[in-house]
Amino acid sequence: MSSHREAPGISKDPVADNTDTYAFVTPGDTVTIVTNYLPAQSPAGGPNFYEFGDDVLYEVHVDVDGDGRPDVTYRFRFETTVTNPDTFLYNTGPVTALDSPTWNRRQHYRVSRIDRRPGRGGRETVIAAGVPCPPCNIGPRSTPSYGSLAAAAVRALPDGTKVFAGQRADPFFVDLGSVFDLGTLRPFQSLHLIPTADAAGVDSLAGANVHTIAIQVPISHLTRDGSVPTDPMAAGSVIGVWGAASRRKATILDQVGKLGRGLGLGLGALASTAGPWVQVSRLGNPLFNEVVVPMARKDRWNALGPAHDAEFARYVAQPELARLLPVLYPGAFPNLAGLTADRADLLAILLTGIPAGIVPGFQNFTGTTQADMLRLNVAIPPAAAPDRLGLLGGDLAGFPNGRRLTDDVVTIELRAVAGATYPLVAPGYTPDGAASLVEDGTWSPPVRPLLATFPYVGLPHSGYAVPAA
Amino acid sequence: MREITRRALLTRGSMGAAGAIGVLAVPNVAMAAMRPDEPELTEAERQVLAQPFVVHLRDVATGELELLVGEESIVFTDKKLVARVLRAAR
Repeated sequence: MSSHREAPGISKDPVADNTDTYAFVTPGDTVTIVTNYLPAQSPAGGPNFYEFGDDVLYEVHVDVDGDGRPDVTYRFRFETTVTNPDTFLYNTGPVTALDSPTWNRRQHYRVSRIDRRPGRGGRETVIAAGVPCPPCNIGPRSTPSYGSLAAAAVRALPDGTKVFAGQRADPFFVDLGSVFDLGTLRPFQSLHLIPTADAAGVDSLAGANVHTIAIQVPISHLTRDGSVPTDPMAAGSVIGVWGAASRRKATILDQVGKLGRGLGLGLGALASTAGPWVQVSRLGNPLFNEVVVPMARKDRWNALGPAHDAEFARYVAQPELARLLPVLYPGAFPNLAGLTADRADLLAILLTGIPAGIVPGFQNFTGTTQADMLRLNVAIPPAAAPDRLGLLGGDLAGFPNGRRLTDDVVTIELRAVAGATYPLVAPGYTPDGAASLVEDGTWSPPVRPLLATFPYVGLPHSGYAVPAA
Repeated sequence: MREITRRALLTRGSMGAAGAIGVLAVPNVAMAAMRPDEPELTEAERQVLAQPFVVHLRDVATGELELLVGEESIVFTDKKLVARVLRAAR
């Protein structure tokens, strides 16, 4: 998965597990950033339906000067309340509005902004408080008219920012069942070292929900000089984006009533926390920690910021997956098997951005600091007809220029690792024919029903309609 | 590193207490830290402890302790305090 349960530590802490981060230019000179948490939710997850962690600090970071450190940060903190402590039910009747008294357990959140750009002060400022999350999508009796109910949870702020936090259908698509079965790609599995008949890909997340934190921000709030760049080749047109989640350094569990805030608030009722926030999850480029960083170092990667990613660069330069493909698919990747040089193409795509002069009319280079961030050139407007392969398909508005909800990042990265992008830095190299064909076979439009407006991520699957497996 | 008195420790702690969310009973560790010549806590000082307040013994050999209070981490060294804590734990 992009980053669902991608590391041993965070796989045991789904509330803080950042599954995917997306960043793309949206109409009105805005950027929309989506960070998802709580992976692989079964929609029928009652009676204790999924929710954000009151004890987790969720952050969206933006780097405007290429040093891999946050210059603008949005912080989201959640608070859960229980209306009726004497029932086991999530709701005691239809929830028809966000203040419906029949909704028993709800969350509100606060958004703050820290602007460390030059001359901005760097102080944390609360920009929204008491913003309601929508309920989970339970079913037609409990959450009728879910679309309009959830739409009311979009909060527009006076400065042009919009925020949303709540359950959504997971926009990420991948054939997990096959790719982690010794790198099987069902459409090509007859060529696998352990062959079976070719088959269509199976989208493992087609019925799963996540919890989305989405924010839409005027571009001028995120650029180095506060402008709205129009020249894609200008250095100030590129921003770096990643999401992160943190927990307090110490947690003490004790008896209910002796510690904590009261009854019925989950871990918060049993626990006291203290000390500074410690990062436990982050995500910039999809699949970076998942398939690039070795298992023994994944937890460390999650605890660090992008500014420290030079220590992981050797795994990008010599990716394990590039060595596995020729072994798993004998004869399909002879040129890749002979490619032993460091992968300057992947180092650029994932850690520094693509410099000018490589792809005509495009760059998202942020400098020599190696940092895993989504690099978004905000001077490139949204594509009228997005190509699922993004830059690889000639669509300058798609991954790895930021990341859109529809970008087929599994295929893009698979093909890049397989050698399809190496000619960008070594014109004499001829990619294997398979490099431009491999995919997991899960993309078939429309992969997900998305919304036409913010927060764009599609409505969550109903628990009634998609019973637990 | 300086030795930190219990009173100074509480004062520092109160500076970072804005983010505190719970109630924690005065830990035995804090009592063990009391110096014989130090006056009893005032009621106002006791109120500082009405929050999560954790002392982490980081290194027995150097006597390095870390006070976690609010969203702050305060690192200090107090070999005598560490010795008293360890003896209290026996």
